[in-house]
Amino acid sequence: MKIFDPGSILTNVRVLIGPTAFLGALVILSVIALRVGVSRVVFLRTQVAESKNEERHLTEKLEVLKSSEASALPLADLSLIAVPSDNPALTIISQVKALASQKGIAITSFEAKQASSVEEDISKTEIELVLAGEMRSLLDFLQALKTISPLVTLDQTTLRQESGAARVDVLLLGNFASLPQTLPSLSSPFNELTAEEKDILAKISSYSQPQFTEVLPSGPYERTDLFNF
Amino acid sequence: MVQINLLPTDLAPRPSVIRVSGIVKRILVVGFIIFILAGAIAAALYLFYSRELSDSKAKVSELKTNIKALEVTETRLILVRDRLEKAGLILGAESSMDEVESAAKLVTNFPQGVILSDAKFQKETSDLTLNSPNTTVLRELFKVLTGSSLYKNIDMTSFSFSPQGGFDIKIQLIK
Repeated sequence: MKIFDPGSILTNVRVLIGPTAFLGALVILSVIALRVGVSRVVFLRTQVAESKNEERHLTEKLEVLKSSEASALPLADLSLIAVPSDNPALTIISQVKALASQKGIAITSFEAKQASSVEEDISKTEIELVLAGEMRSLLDFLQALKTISPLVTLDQTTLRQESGAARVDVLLLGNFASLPQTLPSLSSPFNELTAEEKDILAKISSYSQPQFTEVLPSGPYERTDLFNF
Repeated sequence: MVQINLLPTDLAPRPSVIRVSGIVKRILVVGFIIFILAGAIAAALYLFYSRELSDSKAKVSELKTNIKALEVTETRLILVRDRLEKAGLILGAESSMDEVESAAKLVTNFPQGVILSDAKFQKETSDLTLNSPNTTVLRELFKVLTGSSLYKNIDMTSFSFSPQGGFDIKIQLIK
């Protein structure tokens, strides 16, 4: 028969309580350390990954900018002539005149109207032209209109021929659009031009460009006679 | 020297308890070693990533300075991209330019004697008024019109004859 002995139980508990208490403390410490330490390391790792990603984007952007540094200005000029920021009516008329003289036809009249409509941020200006010449030359002229810069759209064209003399009434639409107002953030990626954009660039660079002349300021000259120029 | 246990056997812990206590102590030692090792690894990783982060941030800052120096180039390229997008829309927009081009190709193939007296080019259709002096030329003209693959439909909207002027034909060309 077993006799209940509180002294014996106390001895057994005393032997077990020390290591068990330490084990419990270690487990609690481990859980806390795991939650705090691992989360900090994971957070830091995420930050490193984000920073490396930003670094990669910026490196790519810098490479694109460096490689385009020399060509950026001519490309900007070329594209800005194709789609200007202001009403291009005068430039278009000048281009049309040059083309008409090249094709041997006469411009009977022209009229530039105020900007009429805006579609997809592109404003349109109407230019009415009346031209006279040979039928073949007029058709060549009309076809050549799509190879001039600033870009034009042919809206409606009426052609008449009587006793060998042909006349054409053309409604041209000149296009222009306001410049972008904001720059994207410094860290936003900047990719090279896409194949489609390069195609458009190749097209507009093959178009005939308007000739601009710079009028230099003259004088001041010495006037011998103050009352006469 | 002989060791003698003078404690009464009733006061000594039970052997099973001593064995469990031993196992717990061993787990404690192993656990502590793992804890120290994990702590050391975590501290090493923390230091490593901290250094990586500070290096990367320094590089990012340097790159941003370099990009800032090329801001003019960036502005120009953004302008180019914006203009090209708009140029694409203009070039892709409907225009009577294609109609003029197709009609010019068609007119080039007309037989000698055919006169194009009137033409109206719109965005999707072209209306032509033609004159033919005789039936021979007229037959040739029809051959050209029917043999052309430039248009989906060619509708004859009017056909008249006068002994002085010959045949007047109005056709509508639809792509």
